[in-house]
Amino acid sequence: MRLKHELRADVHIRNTNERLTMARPDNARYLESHEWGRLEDDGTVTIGITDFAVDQLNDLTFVDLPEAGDKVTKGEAFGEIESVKAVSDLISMVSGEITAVHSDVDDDDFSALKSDAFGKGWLIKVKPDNADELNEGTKSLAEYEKQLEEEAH
Amino acid sequence: MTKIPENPAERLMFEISKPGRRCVTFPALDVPEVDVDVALKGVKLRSEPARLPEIGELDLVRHFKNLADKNYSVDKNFYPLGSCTMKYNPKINVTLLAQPGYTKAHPYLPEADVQGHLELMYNLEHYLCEVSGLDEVTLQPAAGAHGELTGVMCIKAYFEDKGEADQRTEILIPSAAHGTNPATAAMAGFKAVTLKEAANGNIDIEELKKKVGPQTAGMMITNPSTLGILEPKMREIAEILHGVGAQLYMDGANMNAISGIVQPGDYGIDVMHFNLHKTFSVPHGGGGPGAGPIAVRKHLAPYLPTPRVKKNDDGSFSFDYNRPKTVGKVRSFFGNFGALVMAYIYMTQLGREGVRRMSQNAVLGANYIRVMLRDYYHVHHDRTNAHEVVFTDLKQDKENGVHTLDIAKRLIDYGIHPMTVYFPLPQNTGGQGAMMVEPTETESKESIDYFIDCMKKIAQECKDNPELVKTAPHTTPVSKVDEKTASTNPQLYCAMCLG
Amino acid sequence: MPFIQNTDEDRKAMLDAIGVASIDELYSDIPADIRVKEDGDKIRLNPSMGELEVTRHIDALLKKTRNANDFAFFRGAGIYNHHVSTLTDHIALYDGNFITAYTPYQPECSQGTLTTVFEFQSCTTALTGFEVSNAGMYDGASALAEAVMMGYRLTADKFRKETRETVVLAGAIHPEYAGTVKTYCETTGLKLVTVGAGPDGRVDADALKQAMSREVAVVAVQSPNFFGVIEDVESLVATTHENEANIVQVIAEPVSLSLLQTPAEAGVDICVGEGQAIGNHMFMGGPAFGFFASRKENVRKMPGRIVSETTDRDGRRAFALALATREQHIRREKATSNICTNQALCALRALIQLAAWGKGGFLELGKQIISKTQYARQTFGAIMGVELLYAESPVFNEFVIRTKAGLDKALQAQGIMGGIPLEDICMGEPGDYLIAITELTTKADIDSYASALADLLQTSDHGGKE
Repeated sequence: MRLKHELRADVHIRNTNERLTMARPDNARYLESHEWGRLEDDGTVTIGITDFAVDQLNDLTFVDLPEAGDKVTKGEAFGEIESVKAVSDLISMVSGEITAVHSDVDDDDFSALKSDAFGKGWLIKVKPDNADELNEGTKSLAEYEKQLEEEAH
Repeated sequence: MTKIPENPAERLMFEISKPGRRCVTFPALDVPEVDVDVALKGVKLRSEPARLPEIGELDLVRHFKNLADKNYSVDKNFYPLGSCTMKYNPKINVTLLAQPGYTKAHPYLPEADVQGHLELMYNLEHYLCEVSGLDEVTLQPAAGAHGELTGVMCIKAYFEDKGEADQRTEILIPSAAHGTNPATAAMAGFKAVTLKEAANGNIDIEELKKKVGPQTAGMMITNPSTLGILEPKMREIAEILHGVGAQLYMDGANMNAISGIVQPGDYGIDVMHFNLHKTFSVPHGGGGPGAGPIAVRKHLAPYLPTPRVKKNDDGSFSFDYNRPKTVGKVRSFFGNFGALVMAYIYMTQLGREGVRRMSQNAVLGANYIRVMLRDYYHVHHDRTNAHEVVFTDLKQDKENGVHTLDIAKRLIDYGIHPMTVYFPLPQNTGGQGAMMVEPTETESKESIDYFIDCMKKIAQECKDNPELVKTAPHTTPVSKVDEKTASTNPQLYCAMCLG
Repeated sequence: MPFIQNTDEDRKAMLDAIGVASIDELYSDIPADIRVKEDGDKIRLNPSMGELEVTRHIDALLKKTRNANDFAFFRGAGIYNHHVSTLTDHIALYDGNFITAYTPYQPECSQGTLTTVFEFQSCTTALTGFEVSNAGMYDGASALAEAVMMGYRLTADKFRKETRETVVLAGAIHPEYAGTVKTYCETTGLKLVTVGAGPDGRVDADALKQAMSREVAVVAVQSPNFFGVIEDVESLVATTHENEANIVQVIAEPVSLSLLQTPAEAGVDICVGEGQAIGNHMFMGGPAFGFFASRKENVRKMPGRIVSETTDRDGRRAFALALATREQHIRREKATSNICTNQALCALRALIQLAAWGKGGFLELGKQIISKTQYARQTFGAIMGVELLYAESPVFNEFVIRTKAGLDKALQAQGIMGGIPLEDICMGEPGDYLIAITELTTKADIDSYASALADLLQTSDHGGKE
């Protein structure tokens, strides 16, 4: 997702310290564009978007996800997420084949994503061609949170 | 579902419908009436008549009058909508257009019967050549984006002709460009490559040099830019593009700043479009129709859509369809002819001197607003601007937690239509919400001063009573509208229309 | 200076506030050597004209024209000489609150326009049977081109693992529409295949079946078609859907929807058309508007503006632009179309006209037209030397006759603007004429055309002079 490319009309950015911060996992890797990815015990990589992204997008309206069996490429979009006046690409951190898709993540006004972005709000699971890719060009939790601080000026 | 309003004048037309009512009646049938089932034997017919409303004439007039009054419009309100050039639409445009000579002109009349229309189109093409400093014009595109598409198609055809089409796959577009530019490039099969602007809002020449190359088909540039500032290095930009054999397209959306002041052809552009509904006073009509003619340099002229208007040796006019290199048709017939007539009437009245004064006064008004409000709102580039000026909500956001959209909505309470908001996008305005103000030359100083006063008052309200601003508007027929539900659960027709 | 209200004194006050001596200083970013001089040296435009002069000038231009009112008029082909209610002009042209408003991006001060767009969409739904429609496109031709692009996207997205990039134009499609589709296909790299009309004027069904393959993404058909013949849309739908492609129906005469099966009932996937016939003047072919409708599940692939009913903060009914993320101002290079300015006022005109006709009037209109068309067809069919083409096929408002070529001028001299010579637009043989009927066509018009034609044929048969 490229939040920097957001049209923020109607998105009343809340003050960072007002926000309910949820614990971000430190066993996940992060992208500057606010996706997270985590290598699971079964060798698949779970991908989602961070609580910060959910908060910034605010009025989520629609998500377009691929189908299980589709291929994804590291650094490329695998889907899109929309709010009323913005649309953002969802970027994959690994190349591989999609094994599962959270197709009803938009249920109940995206409540899973809003309440548990790093758990119940996951988006896709990928069987990576090379699991090491997850660490290439991605950020640790500390690095990601530093980025968020910088973005908040 | 909300309930049907008690006052019939507030209802949807379907909700005031009553069987048996109607406005238009027809003369008695003067030929034998046929049985539709017999005449259309074997053809599937509708299962029931279309569920259109049934309304008497007074109720119909009252319905639309009440709706019209819920709009803000140039006739009623100051409308400083940046990038849209909401100037006065002279009444004479409409009056002269609404004559049978125009309303009853059919596109398949013999050329001999439409000489006056062809002459008008020929003259208008000439005017636009003069204003652009380019060689040839087509009037066919229906709107700016359609002009863009036509222009980019011509560029593509030009490279196909030169055998370079496979190589030239990219169009460069400044990041602050209007969304139609990248959408057009993509629609024409090009890759839209974004160019970041320099810190002062102008084109970053070094960035341009880095991204341009043998793969470049062209660049789409808006001058003055979407940030409301003139690009001083147009000639250098054109040279860089031409140096690699690429073409320079100019989005003419902002021609209200420079018409009659400079001919864009003189700084090296190859093709541009006009928005006659912005610069040349065709009324915006609640979203259209407009007209988006394009002007090109000679080398692109063979690719313009068919037909072209041609003046013959005997002084008569005709359509020229025999153009082997044309991109083809981009729409039916000859363009939004009715809109062209209105633009022509306007341009004829302005004349050479008037076109120049138009731009000068537009630029004067916008700079005046910048200077008068610079202490109250952050000016994104506080330097001489063109016909519009971009403020942001930096101050109000940081100090009072009030945002661009709130300020825009509060303007409505003062009887002013909001300026353009969040364009250019926040990424181009330091992450803050843009407020783009374009007064146009037709506004009096008093109207502009009233706007300035209102903006000052709102700046004060942001400090004293931010809630008042954040909950605006307070005076409109509806309060803040739930646009989210409109997108998550769209209801796109009245349920009474479908069985 | 026309339309500029500020005086020199106003300008001076503004310049003083800015702190510059002249407006010229505000243009310092433009190199001086290319700026036009104060006397406008190189811009060759006429001197400014006032209201009287421009009126005189326009009158002079109009004197060099003739229009449908000057003839018994039989030309159509997508632009029809219908009656336009006076209500339409009064509301759409002379009430400044519609014509001088912008696109309704700010819903609180645009409920008028938004409500009319919603009502217009509702009328499109009533006519076509489809649940979703947009606020209008440029015209019928570009609407068809955009529908073809959308039909392609729908098929391509559904069968991502296949390459389905062929567009089939089936039957007699308006040459202006077909030409526009061709241009759009060439620029986007889609392959275009055409399937001709059979001897009955309808799509050659066998040829269409042969043209179908897994590469076909979308089929486009016009009904009633360019020759006026009503296609068997259901069977074309079946052929297309057997092949898992999408089918677009384009309609040049939307008044035909007063009687004919709706595109939704026929099973087409997208229906578009030229809206001029409803409430819009002819204006040499524009501006009018294209209408665009489809099934609910396709809404996210639609181009153009869409309005939805919603509520305001206080629970009152309100209208707003919906699903804007499809559009260029948000999705930029990935948008469903680059369209921005559309033809909103023309769509408003159609709405007013449909309301003015009303349910009963619209039906009566359709019935009058079909009665007059049947009468005209019989009358021309009875003339020695005139052949009705596709005589066995059903028509609504238009039909083709084949007769002696070159009689047009003689007819026009008698005040008759006969059918369109199809040879001129590469759609037929010399002597083929496409005749259009509307409610404004009187029996007297038809009789005078027929008898003048019969006389001319007789005279020319005897080798005599006109």
